[in-house]
Amino acid sequence: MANMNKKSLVIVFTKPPSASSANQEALDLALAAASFDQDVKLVFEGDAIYQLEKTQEPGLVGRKNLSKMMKALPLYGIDKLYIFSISDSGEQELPENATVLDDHGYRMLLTESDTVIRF
Amino acid sequence: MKIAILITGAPYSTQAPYTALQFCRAAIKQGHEIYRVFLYRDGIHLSTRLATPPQDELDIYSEWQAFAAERKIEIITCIAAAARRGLIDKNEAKRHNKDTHNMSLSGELSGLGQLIEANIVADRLVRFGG
Repeated sequence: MANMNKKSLVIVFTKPPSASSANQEALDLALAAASFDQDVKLVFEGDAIYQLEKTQEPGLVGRKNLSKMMKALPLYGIDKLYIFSISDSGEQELPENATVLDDHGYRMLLTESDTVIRF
Repeated sequence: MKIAILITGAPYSTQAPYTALQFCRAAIKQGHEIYRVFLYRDGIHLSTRLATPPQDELDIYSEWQAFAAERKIEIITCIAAAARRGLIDKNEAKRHNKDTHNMSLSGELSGLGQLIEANIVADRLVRFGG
Protein backbone atom coordinates (compact mmCIF):
# COMPACT_ATOMS: atom_id res chain seq x y z
CA MET A 1 0.00 0.00 0.00
CA ALA A 2 1.26 3.44 -0.89
CA ASN A 3 2.36 5.67 1.93
CA MET A 4 -0.51 8.11 2.40
CA ASN A 5 1.85 10.67 3.87
CA LYS A 6 4.12 10.74 0.86
CA LYS A 7 3.39 12.78 -2.21
CA SER A 8 5.46 13.45 -5.30
CA LEU A 9 6.32 17.09 -5.58
CA VAL A 10 7.91 18.72 -8.60
CA ILE A 11 9.56 22.05 -7.89
CA VAL A 12 10.25 24.02 -11.05
CA PHE A 13 13.00 26.63 -11.06
CA THR A 14 12.45 29.20 -13.83
CA LYS A 15 14.55 32.18 -12.79
CA PRO A 16 18.26 32.91 -13.30
CA PRO A 17 20.48 32.80 -10.20
CA SER A 18 21.13 35.87 -8.04
CA ALA A 19 18.52 38.09 -9.71
CA SER A 20 15.86 37.38 -7.07
CA SER A 21 15.17 35.23 -4.04
CA ALA A 22 13.26 32.74 -6.22
CA ASN A 23 15.86 29.98 -6.37
CA GLN A 24 16.83 30.24 -2.71
CA GLU A 25 13.21 30.02 -1.59
CA ALA A 26 12.50 27.19 -4.04
CA LEU A 27 15.50 25.32 -2.65
CA ASP A 28 14.37 25.97 0.93
CA LEU A 29 11.03 24.40 0.06
CA ALA A 30 12.71 21.45 -1.67
CA LEU A 31 14.85 20.64 1.36
CA ALA A 32 11.90 21.09 3.73
CA ALA A 33 9.75 18.76 1.65
CA ALA A 34 12.51 16.18 1.41
CA SER A 35 13.07 16.31 5.16
CA PHE A 36 9.35 15.49 5.51
CA ASP A 37 10.09 12.39 3.42
CA GLN A 38 8.28 13.63 0.30
CA ASP A 39 9.30 12.48 -3.16
CA VAL A 40 10.90 15.68 -4.49
CA LYS A 41 12.03 16.31 -8.06
CA LEU A 42 13.68 19.52 -9.21
CA VAL A 43 13.34 20.86 -12.73
CA PHE A 44 15.52 23.69 -14.00
CA GLU A 45 13.64 25.43 -16.77
CA GLY A 46 14.83 28.21 -19.07
CA ASP A 47 17.29 30.63 -17.51
CA ALA A 48 17.24 28.65 -14.24
CA ILE A 49 19.71 26.31 -15.93
CA TYR A 50 22.41 28.84 -15.01
CA GLN A 51 21.83 27.99 -11.35
CA LEU A 52 23.70 24.77 -12.15
CA GLU A 53 26.88 26.60 -13.18
CA LYS A 54 29.61 25.49 -10.80
CA THR A 55 31.57 28.69 -10.53
CA GLN A 56 29.36 31.41 -9.15
CA GLU A 57 30.08 34.29 -6.82
CA PRO A 58 26.63 35.48 -5.71
CA GLY A 59 28.26 37.15 -2.70
CA LEU A 60 29.43 39.87 -5.09
CA VAL A 61 25.80 40.97 -5.46
CA GLY A 62 24.81 40.31 -1.87
CA ARG A 63 23.20 36.93 -2.41
CA LYS A 64 23.74 33.70 -0.50
CA ASN A 65 25.76 31.06 -2.30
CA LEU A 66 23.38 28.17 -2.88
CA SER A 67 26.06 25.68 -3.92
CA LYS A 68 26.25 24.13 -0.44
CA MET A 69 22.52 23.57 -0.44
CA MET A 70 22.71 22.17 -3.95
CA LYS A 71 25.47 19.79 -2.90
CA ALA A 72 23.38 18.65 0.08
CA LEU A 73 20.46 17.58 -2.14
CA PRO A 74 21.54 13.89 -2.43
CA LEU A 75 21.75 13.70 1.38
CA TYR A 76 18.07 14.64 1.39
CA GLY A 77 17.27 11.94 -1.15
CA ILE A 78 17.06 14.33 -4.10
CA ASP A 79 19.41 12.41 -6.36
CA LYS A 80 18.39 13.52 -9.82
CA LEU A 81 18.01 16.96 -11.34
CA TYR A 82 15.98 17.61 -14.46
CA ILE A 83 16.66 20.21 -17.10
CA PHE A 84 14.13 21.63 -19.53
CA SER A 85 15.66 24.53 -21.31
CA ILE A 86 15.83 26.05 -24.74
CA SER A 87 18.70 28.23 -23.52
CA ASP A 88 21.95 27.85 -25.37
CA SER A 89 23.37 25.34 -22.95
CA GLY A 90 25.79 23.86 -25.47
CA GLU A 91 28.82 25.27 -23.72
CA GLN A 92 27.60 24.58 -20.22
CA GLU A 93 28.92 21.66 -18.27
CA LEU A 94 25.93 19.98 -16.69
CA PRO A 95 26.05 18.14 -13.34
CA GLU A 96 26.48 14.36 -13.59
CA ASN A 97 23.12 13.70 -11.99
CA ALA A 98 21.24 15.95 -14.44
CA THR A 99 18.79 14.58 -16.98
CA VAL A 100 17.78 16.71 -19.95
CA LEU A 101 14.06 16.43 -20.60
CA ASP A 102 12.39 16.69 -23.98
CA ASP A 103 8.73 17.81 -24.33
CA HIS A 104 7.44 14.28 -23.86
CA GLY A 105 9.67 13.52 -20.90
CA TYR A 106 8.67 16.75 -19.17
CA ARG A 107 4.99 16.06 -19.75
CA MET A 108 5.40 12.57 -18.28
CA LEU A 109 7.23 13.91 -15.23
CA LEU A 110 4.45 16.42 -14.54
CA THR A 111 1.67 13.92 -15.23
CA GLU A 112 3.14 11.43 -12.78
CA SER A 113 3.50 13.95 -9.97
CA ASP A 114 0.90 14.92 -7.34
CA THR A 115 1.94 18.56 -7.01
CA VAL A 116 3.84 21.07 -9.13
CA ILE A 117 5.09 24.37 -7.73
CA ARG A 118 6.82 26.88 -10.01
CA PHE A 119 9.26 29.48 -8.79
CA MET B 1 -12.44 18.26 -2.26
CA LYS B 2 -9.90 19.52 0.28
CA ILE B 3 -7.89 22.39 -1.16
CA ALA B 4 -4.69 23.95 0.17
CA ILE B 5 -3.81 27.47 -0.96
CA LEU B 6 -0.31 28.86 -1.48
CA ILE B 7 0.01 32.61 -2.01
CA THR B 8 3.42 33.88 -3.14
CA GLY B 9 2.42 37.21 -4.69
CA ALA B 10 2.40 40.43 -2.64
CA PRO B 11 -0.82 42.28 -1.84
CA TYR B 12 -1.48 45.44 -3.90
CA SER B 13 1.66 44.94 -6.08
CA THR B 14 0.13 41.78 -7.51
CA GLN B 15 -3.37 40.44 -7.98
CA ALA B 16 -2.46 37.11 -6.33
CA PRO B 17 -4.11 37.57 -2.89
CA TYR B 18 -7.37 38.85 -4.39
CA THR B 19 -7.54 36.14 -7.04
CA ALA B 20 -6.89 33.59 -4.28
CA LEU B 21 -9.74 35.09 -2.24
CA GLN B 22 -12.13 34.91 -5.20
CA PHE B 23 -11.04 31.32 -5.83
CA CYS B 24 -11.62 30.34 -2.20
CA ARG B 25 -15.09 31.93 -2.15
CA ALA B 26 -16.05 30.12 -5.34
CA ALA B 27 -14.61 26.81 -4.12
CA ILE B 28 -16.53 26.97 -0.84
CA LYS B 29 -19.70 27.92 -2.69
CA GLN B 30 -19.32 24.73 -4.71
CA GLY B 31 -18.94 22.63 -1.58
CA HIS B 32 -15.15 22.35 -1.39
CA GLU B 33 -13.12 22.80 1.76
CA ILE B 34 -10.19 25.20 2.11
CA TYR B 35 -7.83 23.27 4.33
CA ARG B 36 -5.21 25.94 4.91
CA VAL B 37 -3.75 29.10 3.37
CA PHE B 38 0.03 29.31 3.40
CA LEU B 39 1.82 32.60 2.69
CA TYR B 40 5.32 32.34 1.22
CA ARG B 41 7.76 34.67 -0.56
CA ASP B 42 6.18 38.15 -1.06
CA GLY B 43 2.80 36.66 -0.14
CA ILE B 44 3.75 37.06 3.53
CA HIS B 45 2.99 40.80 3.33
CA LEU B 46 -0.71 39.95 3.47
CA SER B 47 -0.18 39.34 7.20
CA THR B 48 0.90 42.85 8.14
CA ARG B 49 -1.55 44.61 10.42
CA LEU B 50 -0.16 48.05 9.55
CA ALA B 51 -1.28 48.40 5.92
CA THR B 52 -3.61 51.38 5.49
CA PRO B 53 -4.93 51.60 1.92
CA PRO B 54 -6.92 54.76 0.95
CA GLN B 55 -10.58 54.52 1.93
CA ASP B 56 -11.86 54.39 -1.64
CA GLU B 57 -9.66 51.39 -2.46
CA LEU B 58 -9.96 47.72 -1.62
CA ASP B 59 -8.50 46.72 1.74
CA ILE B 60 -7.33 43.23 0.77
CA TYR B 61 -5.76 42.72 4.20
CA SER B 62 -9.08 43.20 6.04
CA GLU B 63 -10.99 41.29 3.36
CA TRP B 64 -8.80 38.24 3.88
CA GLN B 65 -8.89 38.55 7.68
CA ALA B 66 -12.68 38.76 7.68
CA PHE B 67 -13.07 35.88 5.24
CA ALA B 68 -10.69 33.63 7.19
CA ALA B 69 -12.41 34.44 10.48
CA GLU B 70 -15.88 33.88 9.07
CA ARG B 71 -14.99 30.58 7.41
CA LYS B 72 -12.55 29.53 10.14
CA ILE B 73 -9.71 29.14 7.66
CA GLU B 74 -6.20 28.85 9.02
CA ILE B 75 -3.70 31.31 7.55
CA ILE B 76 -0.08 30.36 8.16
CA THR B 77 2.72 32.77 7.28
CA CYS B 78 6.19 31.36 6.58
CA ILE B 79 8.31 32.52 9.49
CA ALA B 80 11.63 32.55 7.57
CA ALA B 81 10.21 34.39 4.55
CA ALA B 82 8.51 36.87 6.90
CA ALA B 83 11.56 37.57 9.07
CA ARG B 84 13.66 38.29 5.96
CA ARG B 85 11.03 40.83 4.82
CA GLY B 86 10.48 42.61 8.12
CA LEU B 87 7.27 40.93 9.26
CA ILE B 88 7.50 39.68 12.84
CA ASP B 89 5.17 38.88 15.69
CA LYS B 90 5.52 39.58 19.40
CA ASN B 91 7.60 36.45 20.07
CA GLU B 92 10.00 37.11 17.20
CA ALA B 93 10.36 40.75 18.25
CA LYS B 94 11.38 39.58 21.70
CA ARG B 95 13.72 36.90 20.33
CA HIS B 96 15.47 39.29 17.93
CA ASN B 97 15.40 42.19 20.35
CA LYS B 98 13.27 44.44 18.11
CA ASP B 99 11.31 47.36 19.50
CA THR B 100 8.04 46.48 17.77
CA HIS B 101 6.09 43.93 15.78
CA ASN B 102 3.63 44.15 12.87
CA MET B 103 2.13 40.69 12.38
CA SER B 104 -1.64 40.45 12.18
CA LEU B 105 -2.97 39.31 15.55
CA SER B 106 -5.17 36.56 14.12
CA GLY B 107 -2.53 34.88 11.93
CA GLU B 108 0.29 32.56 12.85
CA LEU B 109 3.96 32.38 11.88
CA SER B 110 5.26 28.88 11.26
CA GLY B 111 7.58 26.84 9.09
CA LEU B 112 7.45 25.32 5.61
CA GLY B 113 6.41 22.05 7.24
CA GLN B 114 2.90 23.53 7.46
CA LEU B 115 2.85 23.85 3.66
CA ILE B 116 4.16 20.30 3.20
CA GLU B 117 1.57 18.96 5.64
CA ALA B 118 -1.21 20.87 3.88
CA ASN B 119 -0.06 19.40 0.56
CA ILE B 120 -0.17 15.89 2.05
CA VAL B 121 -3.65 16.27 3.54
CA ALA B 122 -5.27 18.25 0.71
CA ASP B 123 -6.42 16.81 -2.60
CA ARG B 124 -5.06 19.83 -4.44
CA LEU B 125 -2.55 22.58 -3.77
CA VAL B 126 -3.38 25.76 -5.71
CA ARG B 127 -0.74 28.46 -5.94
CA PHE B 128 -1.36 32.18 -6.57
CA GLY B 129 1.48 34.53 -7.48
CA GLY B 130 4.17 34.85 -10.12
